[in-house]
Amino acid sequence: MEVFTSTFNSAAGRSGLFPPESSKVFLLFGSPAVIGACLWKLGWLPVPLAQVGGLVVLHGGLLALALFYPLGWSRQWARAVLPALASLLAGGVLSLLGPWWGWSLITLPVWLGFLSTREPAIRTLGLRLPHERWMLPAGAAIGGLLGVHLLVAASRALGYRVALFPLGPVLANLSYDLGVNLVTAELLFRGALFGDWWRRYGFWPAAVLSTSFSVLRYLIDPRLPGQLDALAGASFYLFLLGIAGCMLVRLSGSLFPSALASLFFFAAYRLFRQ
Amino acid sequence: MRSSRASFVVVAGLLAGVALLFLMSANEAHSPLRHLYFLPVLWAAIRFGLRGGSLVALLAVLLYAPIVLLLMERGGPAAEVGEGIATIILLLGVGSLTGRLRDRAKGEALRHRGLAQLQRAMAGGGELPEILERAVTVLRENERAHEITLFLKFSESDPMFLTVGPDRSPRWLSGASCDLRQDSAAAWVLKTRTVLYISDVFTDLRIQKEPSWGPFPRRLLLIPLMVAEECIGLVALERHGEFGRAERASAQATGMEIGIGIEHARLTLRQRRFAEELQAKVAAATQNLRELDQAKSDFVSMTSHELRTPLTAIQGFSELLLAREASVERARLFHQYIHQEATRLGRIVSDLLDLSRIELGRGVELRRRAVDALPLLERNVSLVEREASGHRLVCHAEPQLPPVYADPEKLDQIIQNLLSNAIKYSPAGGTIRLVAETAVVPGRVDISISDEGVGIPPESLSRIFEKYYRIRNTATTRVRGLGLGLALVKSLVEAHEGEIRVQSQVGKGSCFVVTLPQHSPETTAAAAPEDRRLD
Repeated sequence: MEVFTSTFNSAAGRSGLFPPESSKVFLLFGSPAVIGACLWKLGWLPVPLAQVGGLVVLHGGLLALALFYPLGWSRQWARAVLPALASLLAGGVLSLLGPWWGWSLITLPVWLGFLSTREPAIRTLGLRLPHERWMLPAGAAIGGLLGVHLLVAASRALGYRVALFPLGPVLANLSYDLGVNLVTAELLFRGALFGDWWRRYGFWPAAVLSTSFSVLRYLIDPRLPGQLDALAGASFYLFLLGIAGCMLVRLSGSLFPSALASLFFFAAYRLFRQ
Repeated sequence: MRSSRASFVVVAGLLAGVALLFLMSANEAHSPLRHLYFLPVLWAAIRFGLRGGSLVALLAVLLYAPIVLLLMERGGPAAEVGEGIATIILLLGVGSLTGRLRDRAKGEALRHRGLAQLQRAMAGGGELPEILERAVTVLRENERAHEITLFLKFSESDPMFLTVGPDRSPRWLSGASCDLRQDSAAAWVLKTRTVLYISDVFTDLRIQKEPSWGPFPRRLLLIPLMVAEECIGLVALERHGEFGRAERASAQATGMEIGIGIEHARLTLRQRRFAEELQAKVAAATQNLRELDQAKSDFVSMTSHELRTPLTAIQGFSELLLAREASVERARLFHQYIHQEATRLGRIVSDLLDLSRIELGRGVELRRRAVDALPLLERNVSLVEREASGHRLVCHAEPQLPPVYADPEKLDQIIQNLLSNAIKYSPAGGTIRLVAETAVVPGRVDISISDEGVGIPPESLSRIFEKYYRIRNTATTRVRGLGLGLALVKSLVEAHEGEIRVQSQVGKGSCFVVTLPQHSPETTAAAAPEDRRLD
């Protein structure tokens, strides 16, 4: 046991929610995001550029911060992040051509899958199969249950229209979820933040804190309706989804069941029509 | 397991029934029927604790929330909407709070049960390692630890390491595998006597220089085992999963109990061992007293016999001389017999007196001077030659052997005793060798007397120089003696600053070697005044 055989330094330790040097990542991606948001508010940013820029800066930032946890401020980190940014840029630009072109965003998870075979440290974020395989259908069931409940409740209470067809917008949104949205959110909020805080503070503080951050991230999504009831409903469901995702990560040691839960939930969410 | 499933089925059915009833009877948030939701929530919280209570409360909220949303959408009265939201909060609060209280109560009950189990484990019989194995195994189960290690430092040189892992079999570690680094976390806990919690062994920078995430956090709690002001060791608990503050406090309290329990067990064992040792000593002392009593009785009996035999002879021959006239030759022979027996009687009395003086601490006066070994040996051989029928007596001395520095009379007594024993204990005859030679130790002379007699059993070798000790076996039962000879010899040899040793093999014979100082001007000066007392 290490406590008998390893050196112990009682003065060493880490304070703060985020790892040392992570401020560099915040600065690197936060500055362009703030500038972009200001330009957008002033109306100086064309819509296509805002869409692509937002995709690259926001999701790239989330991904860069997630990868910072296992790789640190290193050359490996840069080598992992730059192709991911290029993939996001290419995918964003191609998405402008039409809904089906959005599937080009799938290159991001492919790149991360390839990267995890080259950099074993990345697998510690949860890019590994669950200890028990039944966690995968369990994750899907939890996401499906929440999604169906959302559909029923929102269609009954708020009068939202639910429709599968036309399939184009649904698939376009799904490609975004599958290629970018779920990948960056799961890697950062469940893989990195929850993983780190779980190890340091225990399950519940970590789950509540990381889920709060993830809800915040979804609430600033410009595509979400701005009404109070919609925001309250979204917070409610996303909070449940986040807590369930943390539980799945804790039980399975993998991000895949949680990602499946999110995928099924968002698949249901994408069936709404304004 | 089966009861849990049944419980979940009941809860699900109850919830479904309530939901149906609610939706069918009153589609309004303020309907009094909404309070029915509290029944399954409370039941699940009491039955399954925080997890069950929270889960069922969440299900209830999921069923109830759409109705509240509907009311909000329709722009219903604010009071009713507020009532609906309050119901949602209450459902979640009641479920989690009741479940938490139930968990805490159950935790306390489990802790008390665990302590009772621990006390039972430590109160059971057996040696300390056995007790510790039982206690640590019980502790591991109670604390739901992945692995538990007990380190005890009753002695600095030989600490005790006991580990019980997932296979539940206790393992004692020794040697290099359990070296305690002086700058390790365990050493820090022992030094500071404070509890140390490591939230994840893989990533804690206090213990890892290059942290990397494992598949799950490895929580470690190190609890010093305190007895009064002394730290007797520590317990290291490792858990894979959650290790809440309340659980850590509970484990810490248990650790304190263990420390006291171990100390009690150790003291009880020590007391038991002490009692056993005392019992053994008392038994040995009693046996010694019995032997001593028997030896005294034997001594009195033998002394009477030894004294009466020569006295009877003296009495008989003197009566013969008085009663009738005898020829000159015959009278001379009778006088010779009387003289021999008187000499023997005198020797016995002299031995007894010497020993008595030694026992009383009065000492024996030595008049030491240079004595040549070979003439001394030859003179003693000639004295006993008549008794030694069937024995071959061989005398040998190393050429140019320096003289021995000794009292000639006492040296005669030593040689006569050893020679007499050699003859007595060689009933079948054989060769008796008397050899004088330079000892291995410089400035000393060895005088050895060896026989081919019955020999001495190994178990008696350490006792033959004790007073009144006689070897009891069939080969020596006919040999007369008081058991004083060798004790006297040893005392006399030691008074000469010498030593005596013996080698013997049963059935092959014995060899007694007396080592004495050589005569030289230095020894003479060192021994001044010339006379030395034997104390």
